[in-house]
Amino acid sequence: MSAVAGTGKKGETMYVNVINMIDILIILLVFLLTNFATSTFEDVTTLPAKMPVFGPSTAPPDDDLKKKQIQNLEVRMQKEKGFQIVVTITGEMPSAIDVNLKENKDFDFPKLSDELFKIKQAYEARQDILLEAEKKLNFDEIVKAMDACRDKVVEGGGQKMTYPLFPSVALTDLPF
Amino acid sequence: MIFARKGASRGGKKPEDLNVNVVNMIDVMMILISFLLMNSAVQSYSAFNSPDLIPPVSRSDGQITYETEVAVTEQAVILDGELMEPNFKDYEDKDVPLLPGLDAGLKRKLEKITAQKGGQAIDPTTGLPTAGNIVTIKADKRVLFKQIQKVMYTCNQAGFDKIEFSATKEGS
Repeated sequence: MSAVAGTGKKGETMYVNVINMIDILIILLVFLLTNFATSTFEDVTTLPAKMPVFGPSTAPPDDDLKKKQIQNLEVRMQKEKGFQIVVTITGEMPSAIDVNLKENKDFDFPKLSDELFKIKQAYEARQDILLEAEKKLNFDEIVKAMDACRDKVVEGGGQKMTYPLFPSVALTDLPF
Repeated sequence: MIFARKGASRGGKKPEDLNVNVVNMIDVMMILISFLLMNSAVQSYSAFNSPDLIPPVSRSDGQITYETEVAVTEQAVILDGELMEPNFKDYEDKDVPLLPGLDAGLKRKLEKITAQKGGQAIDPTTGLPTAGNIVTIKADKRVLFKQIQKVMYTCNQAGFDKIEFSATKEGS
């Protein structure tokens, strides 16, 4: 800012050095562009994973004993065989449902959801499921199996709908 | 330093006044700064980002907590951005359920959480006390399940009783 005295009232002239500001602006632009280039704009989500709790099961009340309940619900996952759902109903022998691999040797996740949906319709109160996976499977396949156990997706008329199945998934490895 | 020349006011050569409107430039700068801050804030949500870590895709819609983040690649395990298990790959053939480096790091973290929050863990999203201590496992999709199991077991043994997996939301 400068003012010259002795020549009457003159408007003050303000000198702003914009060069520094342009420098900062360019640095900011570079940062912004590199940030945009390296960052992935993906929506991140989380899914709860439980570790199985082994021990004596709590005895159901006497009224509940008359009703048939799922005592145990397991999904076994093997790279060579696919899925096997093992359901144990109170007072009955365990029964198994096989969900074989697809023709391209991939896991059939939609079919697993379909089979679990049938079980869910019969036993709506059941929330827990045990996923027993082979140790050599990779994390991606585990997450997909967990998704298939948690809900079933139905597509129709351009819309996607999800039906909740067994939201509480406990993870462990196959004992054999 | 600039001094006013004597006689400059008496009809001598006057310097031309350059009027630059900096208001618009400041506006643009402010927008750029806000973008930059927003972007870095989103990135700092996760303590570890690497091309070696490609999360799996999930259709789950769980909320992110990131109170304690364990990043797992095929080669290493990183706790809140700090390398804990540089030789994680070596554990692939070992039948060892507990990862000692990660265990020590998690215990230190738990002590810190307990000291900071008066003995009770707080959910950073809601600000309410949580039932247990949450750990988010952000693992690469190619990591073997047996390796994930070791991480889960170590977290559980260190006192983190609530485990969640981080994944990329389907369709994003």
